[in-house]
Amino acid sequence: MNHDIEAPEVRNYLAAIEARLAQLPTEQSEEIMFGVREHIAEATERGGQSTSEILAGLGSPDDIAAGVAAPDVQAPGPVQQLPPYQFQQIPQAAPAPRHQTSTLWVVATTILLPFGILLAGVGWLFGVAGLWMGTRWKVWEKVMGTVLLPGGIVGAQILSRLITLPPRAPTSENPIVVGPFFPGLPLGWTIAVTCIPIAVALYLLVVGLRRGTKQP
Amino acid sequence: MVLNDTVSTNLRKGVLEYCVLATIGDGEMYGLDIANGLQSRGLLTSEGTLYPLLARLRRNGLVETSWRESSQGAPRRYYTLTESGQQSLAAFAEVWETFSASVTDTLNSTTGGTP
Repeated sequence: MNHDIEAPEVRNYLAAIEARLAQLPTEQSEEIMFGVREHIAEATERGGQSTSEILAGLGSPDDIAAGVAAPDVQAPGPVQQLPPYQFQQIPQAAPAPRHQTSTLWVVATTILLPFGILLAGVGWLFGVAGLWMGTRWKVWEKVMGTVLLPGGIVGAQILSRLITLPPRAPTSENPIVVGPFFPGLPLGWTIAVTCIPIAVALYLLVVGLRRGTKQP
Repeated sequence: MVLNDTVSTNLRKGVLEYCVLATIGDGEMYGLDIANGLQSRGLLTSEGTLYPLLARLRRNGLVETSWRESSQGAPRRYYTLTESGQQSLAAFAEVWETFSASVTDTLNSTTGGTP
């Protein structure tokens, strides 16, 4: 799906539309660009049409730009004084696609989820808000990021305390190695439960960044 | 042929946004499916022109969007009519029924006669 969106032919086509929508407010042009990108990706996914056929079906960038003023009406000329778009022209460097959820958003969210609780106790809540407001994650991933484990690494430690037996006195045969940050909790448990929220956050980071090229 | 194209274009100009509203209807529709539906009926010559129109309808409060998970991976954006969009569509349908009947009646009538 992502493959054809990144093809030079498509990038060139999208860049040509973006150039013709440059005079619009950013939010408006992004909404149109996202619709066109999603159309190409989905039509490619469904198959049956080549990339060139999909782009031809969408119409020229000038047609789309003309649709901003009057839908489906062929304007006498392009909205901006740009050379007419030629299908299959030599690919040029295209500007990076713009997204609703930025890469910074993804990174900040996936840091706040495991570690945000350390920021006055409320950073985790901002992480959860960022997760649910973000558009790069599926619902089940948002649920996973929220419930595994609430409160991030601190929540994980509290949970592990609840499910482990009360600390017992170490013996020479069975010594208990205690973690440095959570006295009374065995070091093995500390590492294990700390890794879970970090692993979840890493997963959300990776899928969030990978989907950055597919949708805003 | 050129005349036919001009007539079609001018007629589409006036009704396309209501055809988009009617295509969405009471359900949730994906952009590509709206485009395919309109194009198969000959109402949309360039599918890409749908997206500026959808953006305008959303800004005007006639449609709203929501995100839903897809089996392909990335969440999809779906369009639904707002209450205002449904009212607008109903009003158009009422006007269109009378208008189209009048046009058909006029075209079928004997020219030069008294209505």
